[in-house]
Amino acid sequence: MVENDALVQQFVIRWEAMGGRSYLANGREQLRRACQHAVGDVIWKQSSKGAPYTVVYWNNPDVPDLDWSAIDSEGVKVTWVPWANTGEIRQITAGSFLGVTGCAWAASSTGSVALYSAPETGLLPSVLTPYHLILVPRENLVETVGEGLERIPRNPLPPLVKIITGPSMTADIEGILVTGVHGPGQVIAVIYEV
Amino acid sequence: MRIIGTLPQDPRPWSERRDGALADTTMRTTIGLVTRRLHLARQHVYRDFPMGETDRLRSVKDKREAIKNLDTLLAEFRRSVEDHGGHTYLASRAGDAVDIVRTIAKTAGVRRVVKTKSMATEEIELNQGLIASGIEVVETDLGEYIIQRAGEKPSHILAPAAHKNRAAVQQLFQWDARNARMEPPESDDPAILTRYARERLRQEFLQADMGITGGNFLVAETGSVVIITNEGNADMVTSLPPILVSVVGVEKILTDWQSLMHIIQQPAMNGVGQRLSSYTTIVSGIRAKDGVEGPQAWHVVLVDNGRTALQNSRYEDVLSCIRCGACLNACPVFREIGGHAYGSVYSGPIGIVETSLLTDLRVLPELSSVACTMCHACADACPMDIDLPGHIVSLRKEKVERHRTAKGADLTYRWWARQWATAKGYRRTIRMARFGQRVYRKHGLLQSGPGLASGWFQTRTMPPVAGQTFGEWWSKTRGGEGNEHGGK
Ligand code: SF4
Repeated sequence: MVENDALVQQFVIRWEAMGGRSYLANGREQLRRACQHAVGDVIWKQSSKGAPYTVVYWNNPDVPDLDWSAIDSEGVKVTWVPWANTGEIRQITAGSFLGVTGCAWAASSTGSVALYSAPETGLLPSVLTPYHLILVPRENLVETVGEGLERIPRNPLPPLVKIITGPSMTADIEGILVTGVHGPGQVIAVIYEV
Repeated sequence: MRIIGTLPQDPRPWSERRDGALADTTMRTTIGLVTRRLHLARQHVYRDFPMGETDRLRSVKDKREAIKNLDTLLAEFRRSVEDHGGHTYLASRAGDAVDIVRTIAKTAGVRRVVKTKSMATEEIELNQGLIASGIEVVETDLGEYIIQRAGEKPSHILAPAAHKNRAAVQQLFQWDARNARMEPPESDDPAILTRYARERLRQEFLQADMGITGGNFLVAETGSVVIITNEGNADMVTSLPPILVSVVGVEKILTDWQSLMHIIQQPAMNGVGQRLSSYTTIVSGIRAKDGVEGPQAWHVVLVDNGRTALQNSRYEDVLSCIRCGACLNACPVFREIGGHAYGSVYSGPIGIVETSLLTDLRVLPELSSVACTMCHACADACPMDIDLPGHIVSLRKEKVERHRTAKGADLTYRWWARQWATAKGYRRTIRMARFGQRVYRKHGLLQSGPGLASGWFQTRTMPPVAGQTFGEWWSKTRGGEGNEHGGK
């Protein structure tokens, strides 16, 4: 699949140019290891601020069941909370340090991923947490945002669609670029095939 | 009937606004830096992404067509939004729009509102309207939050707080932290100041009863409002509060999803030189019954305020503006004076044109004369091919025809034009200048002049009129020899 390889390559270049981080994974084991590494890495970055570490993750087919709750990092205990439509999930997500979601599609020429809001695919884990881990199956890659937009179901449209192209950023103070102003300061994509 | 829009304006005269801006070194350094950086980034992004140009050309065409069909498309947009559970309103005047939002808020018992940056809401002075009704309004775009706390106005569409340096922001946040009973930022490092704002605004997002956004595009076919940000605050505002109000100018309309596909990258490419901004949020309906995010009630307020009056006029293309800011970044005047000096919510070349056009030359009519050098940089920069310099010239003309220029200036220019219409008149003025210039001469140069001319001399000098002009010499000697002009 040369074509798909090119898309992956282009996606990674653009995604990283916008300040995102990425992993490539082939097979379930690699995927799990990539995720474990990503989680460990962000915990390490957080460590100065102390525990507790809560992760909210999509509990639907967009996020392969990797036995998430067994993932911890160098002895640091992580609480894994599956996304669910409960009243408390909002508060829990707001207090979490990482959101793990899938995506509906990813556009390689801009380095973007798209999420649709639905009861089982909430957007809040991509909004409220300081870190966001996005699982991107290779077959979800398209070349342009236009192609991606074309894929969005129209009847009816999802009430909220969100296209993410890099971390939350601002240059509002003296024109200096700072990430993580409202949304995640770091976005990590794992492009995988199982 | 033609509706004439209203816009807030700075009551200070131009000379004061200009001098204030020129004396503000913080603003000038930051604006200079930001505008040049963005202008360059824009050039690079087109070079690296040639498809952007194809899309741009399509978008110009799409947008012109959409504006032609504005009425039909607005009706279609409203139908689509209402089919998906939203409510829509058409506000002819700024005041109507404020009334509509106020009524929505009052009816729902709203006490706290979080907002994303929106020029349309600045234009209608929505915040003031809501605050006067006892509703708390918090701007959540970092730059807007800073200037809201400082009680000031934005200095650039995309960099509203460009006139504040880090020390000023820290001071402001220290004061803000005391009021909010939070830990103040421990230094003036922009990263630390930003982290403070994140924590501070997080409380607001979670507690707000209502969110207000602007919109970059309205898609008639699907009834969608598209919001583009880099900070991610629109995602908070659209997904957390139970009520969402989108206040958008009618001209943001697009015909269909296809048009959106072409135009979606243009604001970021031209505004900040990125292929896409960090966040593109598309709102097309309300929260699912069993959902926990997105609005339970969604209201779209479409603002006219003088826009539809431009349809079928020579200025119609102005309605294609996507508010990317590229013309501001390219403009040599804007780069020097920043946004405040314009005195309007809209600044830069597009600000000159829109302020005059939306208000039928009632607000700040001086802008087209004082804030443009006719260099045409904006025309090169504008992705929507809007004839900004052409409009500025035309506005100057209209002002004179409709006697909207200052009396003194008007009389002076009329007198001058009459004199210079004939050779005799021209010679007469030269003789007068030679006679009058004695008072204004210093170190061999003219340093000032009478009336209007004194303003011109504030930043310039001029060689004095010669004791004998070329014309005078020629008529005396016909180029013969033995004179001071180089003959032998
Ligand atoms: S007039 Fe053109 S360049 Fe200026 S903001 Fe509008 S679209 Fe951008």
